Amino acid sequence: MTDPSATGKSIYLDYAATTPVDPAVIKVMVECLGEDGDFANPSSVHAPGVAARARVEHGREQVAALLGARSGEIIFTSGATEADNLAIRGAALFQAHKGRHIITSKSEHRAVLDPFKSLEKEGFEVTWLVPQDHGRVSPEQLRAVLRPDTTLVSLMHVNNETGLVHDIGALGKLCRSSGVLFHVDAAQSAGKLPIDVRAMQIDMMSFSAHKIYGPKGIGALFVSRDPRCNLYPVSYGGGQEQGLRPGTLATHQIAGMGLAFELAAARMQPDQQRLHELREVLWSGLQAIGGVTANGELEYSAPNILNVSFQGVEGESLLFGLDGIAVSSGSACASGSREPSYVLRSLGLDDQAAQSSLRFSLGRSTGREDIDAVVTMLGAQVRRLRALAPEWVG
Amino acid sequence: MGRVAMNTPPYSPLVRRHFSGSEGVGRFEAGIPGVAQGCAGSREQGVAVQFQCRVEGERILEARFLAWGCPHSIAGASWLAEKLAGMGLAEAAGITGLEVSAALDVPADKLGSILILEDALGACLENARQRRYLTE
Repeated sequence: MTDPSATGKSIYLDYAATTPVDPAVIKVMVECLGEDGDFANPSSVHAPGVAARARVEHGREQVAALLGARSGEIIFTSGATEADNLAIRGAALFQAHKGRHIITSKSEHRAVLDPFKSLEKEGFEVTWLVPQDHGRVSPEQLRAVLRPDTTLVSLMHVNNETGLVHDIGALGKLCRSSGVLFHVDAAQSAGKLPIDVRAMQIDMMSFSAHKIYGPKGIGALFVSRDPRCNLYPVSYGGGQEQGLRPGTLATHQIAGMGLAFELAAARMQPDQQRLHELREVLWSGLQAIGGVTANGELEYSAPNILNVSFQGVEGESLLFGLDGIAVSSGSACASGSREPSYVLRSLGLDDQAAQSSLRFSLGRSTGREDIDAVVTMLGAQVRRLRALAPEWVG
Repeated sequence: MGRVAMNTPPYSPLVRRHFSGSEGVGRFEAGIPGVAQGCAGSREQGVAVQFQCRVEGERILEARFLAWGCPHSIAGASWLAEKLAGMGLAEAAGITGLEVSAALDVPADKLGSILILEDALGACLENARQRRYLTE
């Protein structure tokens, strides 16, 4: 990728939203689709069904391997959103006889916030933490709100907007010692940061494939068997996935997710080292523009994400001016609303600072020339918009 | 994240043209005679606009603008500044936000922003009338 105005191609810096599918993953998926491939229902007992089942179980092993889990602890879902719903609603309802106090933070993804809100409407008491440790929930902050009737804590590993990383190991240890189930949304961290569900003492962990060069429409929930974590299903209609997620298994999606996880495991260290270096170049270039603030301290954030506010610039105009650069903004304009990001607001940003923020997320195809082109274009656009503004709004 | 990439629709071709550049951007140099000015909006309102019109008698010779806000607001200010050149004060006073919205194909949820342009234009024209009254 290079200068978008010269090539007509966009510079894609939105890998935290989704990634292209790895060619090797596409190949293995296609092998499960056609008449000559492993297209049969994996639940069937005939030979084609057994072959498809073998694909599914291999995919399950590949996913489990990235997490230090056993394959029997992996439940395939349609994505991380469904996995979050299954974990949160399934565990809270199963544990309801023990207590109805559950805990999460205000900077979680809506796939976590909304199931918590649904439980709150159904009579559960929710503690909504505002992250206080550099945009993160610390073990001390969590310890202060744990109660005898607390049954579930859900906190994300890497924040999708800021890249801030929770100390999952310390939080998991606290939950385990307190007898509280611990769910982690790892949609942004799987394949990017090391995960060991045993060492981190995690009871449930949600994943999606499309954030790490796998297909959309497939994800998984890790459900610990040691110690045993019990939950109710959220949908009914068959016995697949240990009865927790009924429905015909999508062999091609699972095979694709499995390979994507295996490839991510092999590439994790060199990929993240390279992206960390590129992010440093990007941040250095943006700082030179002046009037820019990093949202979330880089020291505590994942190496592939940088969220920045541009002072004196309205966010939608900044985004509009970046023709050919694909990034995400700090306002929910996708939904037709210009509401500022609740995650950035929870970091203490005012509406204008939140709206003037951009999230850059780097990926495997990002090169130094992309970063240089983005810095040049951003600098020109920010200076133009600042010059256009009346002095009294500066 | 709210989350969109690249410059997403709906932005009409006229919005794109006026956002990208306009001869009416800026301020008149201090000391130029017959310059009226009007402002409206704030950061909190999401739009802030300043119009200047160089007026001779009843006629606007040329207009300038500065704007902070969404692409529709900036483009709307530019479109207005271009349209005002050569227009009589009474005719200019008849321009409404709805007319700007229709011309630029502004989505309904942005109408509030465009009405702030109308306020700034109104303030500028009122300033022109006051200056004329004082000098007559």
